[in-house]
Amino acid sequence: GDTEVKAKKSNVSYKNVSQMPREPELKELKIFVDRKYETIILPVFGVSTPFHISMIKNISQSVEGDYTYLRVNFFHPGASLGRNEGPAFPQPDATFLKEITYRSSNAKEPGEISAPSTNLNTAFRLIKEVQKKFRTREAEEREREG
Amino acid sequence: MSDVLEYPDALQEVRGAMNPGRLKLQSNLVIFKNIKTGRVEQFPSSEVVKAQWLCRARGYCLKLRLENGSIHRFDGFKESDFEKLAPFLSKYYQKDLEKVDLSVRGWNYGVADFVGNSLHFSVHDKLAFEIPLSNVSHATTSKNEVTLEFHQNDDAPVSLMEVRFHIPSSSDNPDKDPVTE
Repeated sequence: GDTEVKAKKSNVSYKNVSQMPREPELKELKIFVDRKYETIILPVFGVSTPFHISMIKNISQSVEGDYTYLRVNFFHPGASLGRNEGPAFPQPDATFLKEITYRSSNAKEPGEISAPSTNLNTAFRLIKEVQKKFRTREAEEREREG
Repeated sequence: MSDVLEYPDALQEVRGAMNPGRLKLQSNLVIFKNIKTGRVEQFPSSEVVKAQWLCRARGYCLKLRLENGSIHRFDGFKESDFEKLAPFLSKYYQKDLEKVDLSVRGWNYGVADFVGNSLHFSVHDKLAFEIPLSNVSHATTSKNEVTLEFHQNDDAPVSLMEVRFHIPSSSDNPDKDPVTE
């Protein structure tokens, strides 16, 4: 019947640590978007923390004065998700990270090739790109399943 | 075995930036000197209640929790440093250096709990990230939501400003006002 709620199977970023990329951005405590594994890796106080693109609801970017801000909103229960929109959460009783905001300076220091905020600009662009690809593929799969 | 281990190229993560320093482990004392500021931080090794070894953004990290709940993290280790550190900690501090695997699943949901002066967020029984509560400048709670704002560090290329958590109403909100400054 129609009342059946199908729990969404969770996508996994990496099966093990050896799959994690070793890009300079990680060492520099910057954001890195791993297009191959469709994952965004965020620096959280010294830890490179991956989040699969399917966890991300939307992102926004703003420039205020000397700083650029990047905000990532994640899917979580209780949000204004339409009834027929998207499947149920696999662990609705868990604690959800629902939002994370980063700030970066637009000012280029002497000796720097680009302003620190370049990292947030690049992340914003790449997250949008990976998200678009992922959603297109998901829609195609749904269509095929009927 | 020498009763001193020295790491002149150690690092300490401070609010999104890595600070170089010299780490010295003596039989009775742990000393970290920040090379940029000259600030020295030290504590008696007898206060260490837990020693952990984890892979972080900058190599491996020696994470020491003291009996008063404060957690000290020293980054920039090589994987092979474990071979010297583990027997040293075992002999002089009577502590096992416990290897901790971080979660790489990429989920935004899990379990948040307080360990010492940190908030640990675990995914699928593995630590995904941690928030030292000393970094929190402001915390607010509203229905099903906890917001943490952080002190900013101009030395950090990207600076974490704020996180929000969704806490299900069924659980007995452990996150309620955790911050004491």
